Amino acid sequence: MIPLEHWLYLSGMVFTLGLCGVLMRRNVILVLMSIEIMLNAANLALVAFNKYLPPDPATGATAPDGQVFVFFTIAVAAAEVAVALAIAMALFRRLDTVNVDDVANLRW
Amino acid sequence: MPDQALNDYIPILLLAGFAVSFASLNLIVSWLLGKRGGTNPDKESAFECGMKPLTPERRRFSVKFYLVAMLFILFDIEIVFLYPWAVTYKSLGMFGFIEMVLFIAVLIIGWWYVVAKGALDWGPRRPAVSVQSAAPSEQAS
Amino acid sequence: MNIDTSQLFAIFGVESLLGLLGLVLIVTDLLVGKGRLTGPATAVRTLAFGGLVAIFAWSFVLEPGAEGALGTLDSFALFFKRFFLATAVATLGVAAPYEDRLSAGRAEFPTLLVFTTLGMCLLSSANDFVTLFVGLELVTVVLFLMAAYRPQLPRSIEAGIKFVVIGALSAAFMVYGIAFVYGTTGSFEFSQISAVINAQESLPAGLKFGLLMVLVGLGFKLGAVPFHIWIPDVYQGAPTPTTAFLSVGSKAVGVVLLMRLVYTVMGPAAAQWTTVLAGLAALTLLMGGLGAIPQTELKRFLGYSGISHAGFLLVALATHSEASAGAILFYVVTYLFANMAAFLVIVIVSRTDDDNHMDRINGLANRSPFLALVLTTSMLSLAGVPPFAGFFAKFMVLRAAVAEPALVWLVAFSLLMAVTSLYYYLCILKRIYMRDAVDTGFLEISGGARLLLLLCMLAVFAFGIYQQPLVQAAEAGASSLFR
Repeated sequence: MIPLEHWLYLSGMVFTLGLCGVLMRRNVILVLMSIEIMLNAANLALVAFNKYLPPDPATGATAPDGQVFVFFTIAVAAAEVAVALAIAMALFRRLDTVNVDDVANLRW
Repeated sequence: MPDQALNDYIPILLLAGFAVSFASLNLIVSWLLGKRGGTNPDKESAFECGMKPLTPERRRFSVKFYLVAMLFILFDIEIVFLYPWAVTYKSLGMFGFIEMVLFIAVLIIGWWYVVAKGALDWGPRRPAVSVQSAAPSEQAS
Repeated sequence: MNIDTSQLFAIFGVESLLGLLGLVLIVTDLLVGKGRLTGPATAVRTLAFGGLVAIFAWSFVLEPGAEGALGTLDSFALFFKRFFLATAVATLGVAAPYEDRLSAGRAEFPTLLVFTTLGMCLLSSANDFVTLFVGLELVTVVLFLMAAYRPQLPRSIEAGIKFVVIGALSAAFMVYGIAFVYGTTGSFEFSQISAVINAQESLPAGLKFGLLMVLVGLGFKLGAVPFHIWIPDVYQGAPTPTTAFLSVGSKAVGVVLLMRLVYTVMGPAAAQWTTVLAGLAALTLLMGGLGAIPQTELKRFLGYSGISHAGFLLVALATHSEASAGAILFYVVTYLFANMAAFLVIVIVSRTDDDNHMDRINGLANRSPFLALVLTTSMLSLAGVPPFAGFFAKFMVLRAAVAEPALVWLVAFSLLMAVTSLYYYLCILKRIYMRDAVDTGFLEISGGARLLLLLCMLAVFAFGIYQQPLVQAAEAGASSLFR
């Protein structure tokens, strides 16, 4: 069996990659994709943790709570992305850009 | 002797090796057996079922595509909740059934809203009410 | 597997009704006055107002006590449900005079408001990370839409896009944190997590990391430094009714969840986090206090003012006593009334062109003595000047904090920042009373707006002079966290 740590290393790397993407990319769509990557890293961690939890002594099985939570994350992420893309589309139509650096009229 | 746990990765390693070797084998064989010669415009063009491309390959899609795609994602993802429900349908009984009917009823109201507001209309054949008829006045203000 | 339906309804009665109300609003919009702008909007607004008021009234019939696997209806949850319903009703009042400026989507605004309120009520009952996450995302995703509600205005889109990126990022941090909390404790339920935390002498690294990430996610909602950067931009760019709702609602969401996590989940172990929370509180107070000084835009100014109020709430959270929890509940209620009044005045004075520069309130005392009086009351309450409710709220927070010797420095610092903040609130008053008006047009105040302003002003006065009923309600609400 692959130890839990390996999954967590992988999930940590994916999360960090996503975070770097958010911080370094200037295109709104790519920033949103990076955030999705971070959410997927969290999903991976949730499923991995669930798999390695000790089973309930009464039933001999582990409750799939973590995996159910992943369903919620997926659904919520889809809703979030739909709204975010709608706003990005409005941005492109109005200001003709998807670059976050160009969106800086509100300051001090 | 490396970490015992790493043995679990051997199947993945094998699969990766197989994928790489299969791809490179195909390339090498076609390079060895294929007839090599100069290039011509047909060979360089994008492949479109054997015909010559009729229009430039890179063009903008209508914004309608994105709208439909976004709506598709929203409704599509809800299936995620139908799977676990279907698996445990028997043990949930009547409660689960009613819950799912409510869930789908909420989705249907959302779908009704989408259709009524004209978000799924493709062309100008049936102009969307209220959303589009109102748009010009805001542009003017 | 058995799920008790009647018990679920006992816990989530308010939420069920709000969900139903939201669906009814959507259907009304589709059925009434097809294709016209004002018909469905009026119907939806009236229905939303009636429904919210009815649910608010009904929530006073409810008895706390129901508890289940996904949520709990203790007096704390009930207190905040009423608070959020009142916020939604007040936001509808702020939105009413603003609505003429919208050329599309007038009917959707109240609908979205009802759905966010549903999310907020869900959150106040959360005793499980699943409920917490779903409720929180319901709130934020709808708020994204409400911030970008006028896509024709570049600053509304800008506010929307900034809010989306920051909000989604904080959600990602939060889920990652929840994953680690789950992995190290084996459960999403607050009671079980609390049991694991308090059974150990020192927390395992994974659990500490998870809790820290969850706190980061909530810090974004509350607007605590260093997660405050979105606040001024979103407050300024979003339509004013959204800003009003955001300033009170989103902050209260952060407060509710932090209180649950710090007081219930961490329990006694939270003492280890006092230094972290106190440090955050000091930074937030500093940032809010200094950032507000150079502002020339009304909503942006209120954004920074909101950050410094978040600082005071963090001071109370760092204190970790029953008295400080009660002080927080009192604080958010006074903040609700003072803030809603201020935003409604902003909507009225920027009526023609949606320009919210501070010039707009110059000479307000001559143009409309009533508005000037309301804005003065609200500013003095936000500043914490004695006869008003805001003073007593700050007093309660600091009185609770002083009892803890380790926090005396923080109390001294908060006092210093409160005095500093007095400066910029007084600058607003100077504009109202001493400057000549830039814009001399007639200010039209509808009957409903007048009533709401009067109500807010009276509440700020009344709770400043006779605090006892609200203090009792707040203490009753807070006590259920410390069972």
